[in-house]
Amino acid sequence: MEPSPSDAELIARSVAEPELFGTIFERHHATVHGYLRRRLGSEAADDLLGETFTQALRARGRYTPRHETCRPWLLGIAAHLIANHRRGESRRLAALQREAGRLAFPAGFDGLPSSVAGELVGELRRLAPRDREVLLLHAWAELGYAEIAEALDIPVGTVRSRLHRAREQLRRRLEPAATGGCHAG
Amino acid sequence: MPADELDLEILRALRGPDAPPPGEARERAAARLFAAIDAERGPARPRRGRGPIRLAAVLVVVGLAGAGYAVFKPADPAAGVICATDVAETPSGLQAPLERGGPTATCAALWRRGLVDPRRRRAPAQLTACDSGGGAVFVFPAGGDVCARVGMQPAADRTTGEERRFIAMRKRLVRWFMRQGDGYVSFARGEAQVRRELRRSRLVGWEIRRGRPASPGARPRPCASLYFQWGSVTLVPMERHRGP
Repeated sequence: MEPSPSDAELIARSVAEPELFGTIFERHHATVHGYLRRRLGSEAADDLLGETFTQALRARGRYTPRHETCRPWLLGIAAHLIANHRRGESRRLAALQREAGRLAFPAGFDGLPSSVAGELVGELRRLAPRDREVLLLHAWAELGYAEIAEALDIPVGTVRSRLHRAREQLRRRLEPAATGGCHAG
Repeated sequence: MPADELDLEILRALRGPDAPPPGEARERAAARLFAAIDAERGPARPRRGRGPIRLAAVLVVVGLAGAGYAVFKPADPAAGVICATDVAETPSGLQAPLERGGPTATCAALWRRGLVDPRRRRAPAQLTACDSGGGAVFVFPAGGDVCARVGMQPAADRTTGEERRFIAMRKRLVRWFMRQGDGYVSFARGEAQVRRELRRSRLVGWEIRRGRPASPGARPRPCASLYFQWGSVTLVPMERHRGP
């Protein structure tokens, strides 16, 4: 059976035959919507899904494939739209912080106090937006360093340093909980 | 699980389950994309001898067992057709608006353009329209008793005069919306245009609805986009966005 065309091939062909961009939508709309929903909530995600792909359509002539999938490129466009919705994101994180107490922790973390997730989301809210973006592309969109670099059009080294900074900030918040919630002295 | 991964593990747990977007959101997004495609090419430009490009208002690949399809009313022409790529009770496929030639003609054209399956650009030798009782009509790449094999009823493979007027109206409306500030239209202007088009299309008794209100605390969203169901045209609130 003939293999399906790659994202890069479809995008290149779509410059002359724009309808083929529909296949890019088919392949990736659920992922993009999922990321938008996690960052901004369902309502804004519903609105921005079409906008993300419409902007991608317009930018497809400049697309340079660096990975097998164009997912990082699409998520980068979504991230740009999210950046225009800081208040929406703030509301979403506030809601997530309230809900976090009911979170079922993954196996192996049963002993953690229920407040930990809420505290972590609180710290997430305090992160610099560009650090938070890198962290959430990694944790929520499951992009690797090179893919995040492509998404945000920044060097891989910058991705590493932002991710390191963001995780250090979160870990500082978690340290007391992870050691039983007791402060020395 | 290493303790130094705790931050990422909690974040991943907070991510929640993966779920496809609701059917309405998916269709609106697809409609917006394909209206942009149509606007880019221009409605009257010939396309390599194939005649004027048609307005493909909605093309969506679906996990057809998805919950979104449970909300469609039976045999709703506004729900379009699903051009299935395999014969199964829950096939993969491409959802598209119904064209005036009927379900199999709609899908045959999409197959020929490589939109149902990018690996091939020809229509299957046989296409059969089946009614799942869930709204959209399925078109399978097979003949004979395929509808019975997948537990569906044979569907009418033609369009009525009223359906053809609706199809033409939908194309005009989507095109009009995209020409007004890149698809961002105020409710008042959008509603007036929909009213004019319903009158022109002699679609009597159709409703013009407003989409769900913004959630409490959300900013008012001044612009409208379109959502079609048989018997109603909904103006869905949206915000204006600017490109990067």
